Amino acid sequence: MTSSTDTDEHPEVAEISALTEGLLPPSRTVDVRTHVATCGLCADVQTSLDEIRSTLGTLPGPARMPDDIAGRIDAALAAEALLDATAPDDRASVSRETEAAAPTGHVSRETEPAAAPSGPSDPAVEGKPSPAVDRPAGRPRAATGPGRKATPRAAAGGRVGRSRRWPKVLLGSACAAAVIGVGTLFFPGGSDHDKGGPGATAHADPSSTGKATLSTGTLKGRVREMLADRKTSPSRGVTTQNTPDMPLRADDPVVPSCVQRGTGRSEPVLAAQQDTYDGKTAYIVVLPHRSDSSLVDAFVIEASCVSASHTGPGELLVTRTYPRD
Amino acid sequence: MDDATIGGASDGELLAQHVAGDPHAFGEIVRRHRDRLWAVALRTLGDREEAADAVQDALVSAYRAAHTFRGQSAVTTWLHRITVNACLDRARKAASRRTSPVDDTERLEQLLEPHESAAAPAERGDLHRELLGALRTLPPEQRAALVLVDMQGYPVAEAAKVLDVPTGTVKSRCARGRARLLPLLSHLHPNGRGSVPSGGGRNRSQGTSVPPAAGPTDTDAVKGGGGRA
Repeated sequence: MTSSTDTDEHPEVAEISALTEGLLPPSRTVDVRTHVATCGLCADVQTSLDEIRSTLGTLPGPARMPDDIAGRIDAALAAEALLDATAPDDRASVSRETEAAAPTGHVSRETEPAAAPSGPSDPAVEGKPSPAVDRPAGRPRAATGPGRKATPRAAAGGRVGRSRRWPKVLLGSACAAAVIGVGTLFFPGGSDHDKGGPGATAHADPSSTGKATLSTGTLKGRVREMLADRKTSPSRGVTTQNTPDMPLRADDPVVPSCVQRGTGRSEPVLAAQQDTYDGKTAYIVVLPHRSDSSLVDAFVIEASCVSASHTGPGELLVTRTYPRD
Repeated sequence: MDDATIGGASDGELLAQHVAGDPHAFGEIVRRHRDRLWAVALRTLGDREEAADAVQDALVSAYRAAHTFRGQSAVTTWLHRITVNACLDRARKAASRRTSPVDDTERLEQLLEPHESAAAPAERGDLHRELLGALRTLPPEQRAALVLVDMQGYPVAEAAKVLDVPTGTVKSRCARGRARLLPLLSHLHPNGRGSVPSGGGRNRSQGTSVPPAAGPTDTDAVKGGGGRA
């Protein structure tokens, strides 16, 4: 039976936990079980682990999806349905084409793996759950990096056509914007007529927005203004190109790359503006919503990453989704 | 499509109707499952907005990808899998950009039902809050396994299908998750004597890890195991 040395060698908490799940190899199972049976301390550990399990089971939680969120999801799905209805070349034909043409693999694999689970204790799976399955399912902000712009949409439903719509619109307005923007560089005097002018917008000092500091309460209104500004005076976004640490790109409003990375998204920015949030200098960055073109996602990213020596992404202070207009 | 037909249809039939162009079928599927998907997402992410975004992304994705569903798992499993994947992506993202200390207490409060703070005994409520806070420190994969199995009560086999891993992996994630929670829960140690530093995994160090003011049954406190005083 148990020798006195056994009692000294207490098993790890993780082993006692594994014992309960029947995960230990047979010989170890005997050892640990014997030990727990004779050791008050470890018996207590086991009891506490059971208690954790049962407490997790009785934790009060959400009984229902809140109405506002249910409504928001219904709206997003209704928008999908609308797109289906208005695009005559829709699912049946298009998806079949794109499936044949391109990334069939992604979506269909999503349904496959359930039927083919690997062996009961494949350690390789641990910690790296189904990367292939992830992508189309989540198609979330996590998917960053160059070249992801077109693929997730295409993968998720074969709607290649629609995924290109926004960039096209943006490109058009941005080209016009670029012309005006360049004009202001050559004729600095003229910038007085622009809101802010090149110098002011470069690091858009808070005063150029003329409002008190931003908060979650005022974010919605600000985003709306920014989008409206984009329509009426596109030069505003583009003059930010006059900053040395920003890449010179003509096709969309430019934000410092660390700020863009802070959004976790890589697609062209609809509008961006510097502001003060909660006492911190921050950028408001507006991006098209991933799945609903009538919505936009607004991110508030701390601006300190621009000057800081480290190269990490800007810290995300807050994110919200709003109707586009 | 009249409601009676929709109401009586199985999930699989509804999904087929959706693929065939029925404009109402997918909405009915959503209505049937959204509450459970919501609970899983909210508990996995611990943040209302993130959870809402995850479920929305997942359902829109499912809407579009419905024609790829092959019926090898239940529709509900498939929806859960898409949702959990969306959550895990977000959770990893959040972990990588360092969770800001924004109102953690407030967030935890969101996760407890309104009745909790009023009705539950204060001590119980504290334990719940502490447990939710501790859950947030787990790796997302362990958290998701605990949410599905321990919190939502799904059978391990079902959770394995949702997570797309072997059942043994689900069990081991749960076991390691619980083991990791234990030292974080001072409420499982009456008299507050059990807050063992999380590094103190080995209870060999009996004498040293027990705080001086540990109370009459010192030895029980080792490794945070003393819940039985």
